Amino acid sequence: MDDPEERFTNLYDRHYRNVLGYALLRAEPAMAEDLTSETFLVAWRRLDDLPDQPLPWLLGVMRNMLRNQRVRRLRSDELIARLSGLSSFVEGDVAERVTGRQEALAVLASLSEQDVEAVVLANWYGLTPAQAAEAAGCSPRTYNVRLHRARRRLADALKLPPHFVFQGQP
Amino acid sequence: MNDSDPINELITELRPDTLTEDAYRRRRSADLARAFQTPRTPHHLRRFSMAKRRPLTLFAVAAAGLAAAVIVVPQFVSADQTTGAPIAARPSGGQATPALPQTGAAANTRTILLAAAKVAAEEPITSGKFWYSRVRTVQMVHVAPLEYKAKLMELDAELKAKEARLKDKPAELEAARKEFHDKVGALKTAELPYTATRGDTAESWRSLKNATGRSVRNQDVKIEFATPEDRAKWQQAGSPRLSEDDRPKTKEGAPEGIVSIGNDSLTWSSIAQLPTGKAALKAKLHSMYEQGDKQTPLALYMWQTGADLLSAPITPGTRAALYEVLADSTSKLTSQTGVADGEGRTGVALETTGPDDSGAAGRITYRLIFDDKTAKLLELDVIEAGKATPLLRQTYEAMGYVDDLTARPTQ
Repeated sequence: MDDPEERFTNLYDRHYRNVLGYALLRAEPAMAEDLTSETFLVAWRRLDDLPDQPLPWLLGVMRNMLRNQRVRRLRSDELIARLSGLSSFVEGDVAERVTGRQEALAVLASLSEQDVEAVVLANWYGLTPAQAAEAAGCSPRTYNVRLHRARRRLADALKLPPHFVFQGQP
Repeated sequence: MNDSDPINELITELRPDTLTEDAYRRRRSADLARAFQTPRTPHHLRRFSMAKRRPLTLFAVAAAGLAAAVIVVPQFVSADQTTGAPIAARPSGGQATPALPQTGAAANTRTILLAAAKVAAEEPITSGKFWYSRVRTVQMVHVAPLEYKAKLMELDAELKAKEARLKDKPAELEAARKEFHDKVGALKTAELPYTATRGDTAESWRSLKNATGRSVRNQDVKIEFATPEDRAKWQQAGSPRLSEDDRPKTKEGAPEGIVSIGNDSLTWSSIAQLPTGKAALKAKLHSMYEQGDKQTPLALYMWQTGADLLSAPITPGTRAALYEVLADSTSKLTSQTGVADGEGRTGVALETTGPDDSGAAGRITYRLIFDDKTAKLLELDVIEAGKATPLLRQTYEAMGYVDDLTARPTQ
């Protein structure tokens, strides 16, 4: 696949939604879309420099872009309210899950925005701690602290045994 | 990650898939076209250019908060890079060529712009607590969203099943993935058998002093068919829903959105302080251009920034100066008088052309309509050659200052 246009199209098709989803953590939809377009334009210009795993790199570009545009970080309750509004919830068929969900949303809203970001990066994109740290612009150690802190508090809210919480975590 | 982990389930549920899928579908062709028409930075220049210019400057024309407006940009950027071709003269004008800009059509456009400058200069200076705007956006519908999504999910499920079955057969797995991408590609480029548009109206009140305001988006959603035949074909296709969300969305607080992508120094609170003389405004615009990534040719940058400024709260003096500055770059523009906008108001259309998604030159017309009696912006359009319905039409129904969050300017 040496054709740059084909390579770029694949990159776009594969990662557009991820990059936009990340932007939506901070910016209104219209601006998030504009910034996502810009992020991919940067990727096009630097296509030959992209790492093998381009997603953390793309998310890092987006993070800089949000900073340059001086988009303020949302308080996490605002962020959760926004996400609840944006996502098309498919209500679970198990009634008790709904209660748990409300509680967990409340806990999620009480976390710092960076802790929420840590959980989201791991969950939505399946990034490894090193990759997520790159995207979040912090050290892997800091990222791990954020992630574990967030997950433990969520687990408390959902009354889960701790081992369950960390299952699958690298 | 464990699928049965309730925390993961919760977080996964929060992922805004509908929204990202919708945006992906709307923006893909314009984003790809724009990228392909943008020069990639050669290795030997990269260090220099990255160090010198501010990182990641944006150079799109984006009417604030209006995602659709960005569609206008990309092809613009490349209009003269890829073609270098003369922009066709209007029937009323002579033969315009880039080498000889001051022929009939260009001279005429210049005269019209200078007249607009005069009109603008005589408008009174106004002020108020909030800058209000009401914009009607009408876009061509490219897919029936629910059907599209269902097909996409189906293809995705098909691929997942194949991936599970072929996990030990790399060659076949690769082929299955390629097939998936081809099918998704075909789905995305497939055209509907009918022509329809979706319109909605957005209102915003923005304080230029603090972070207060209000916006009400997605009002009066309306699907329209180009002709009765198009409606009939839509009915034959099973009358699929063409708009996913018809409810207005109100948001309190400052409407988000930047004045002009690529011009970081322009802010809502400082825009009224822009110079009011031609030379000073030109110098300011040139300096903003110099600070940017300069990927856009200067003349086009001027046009784009001009369109942004005309939809923003600039003073009559700046507006006058802006028309004078635009009058100096008419070699790239053509004009047409007596053009009606989406509201039926007539004005002067200032146009240029660019290539379409496939790179075919001159296929897309970008048009700005202004009222020559008031020198105010009426509409921004994107029109594809051979199609009677514009791809995008943004009508500035009302703009002006008001003193509270329920007031609208009297026209």
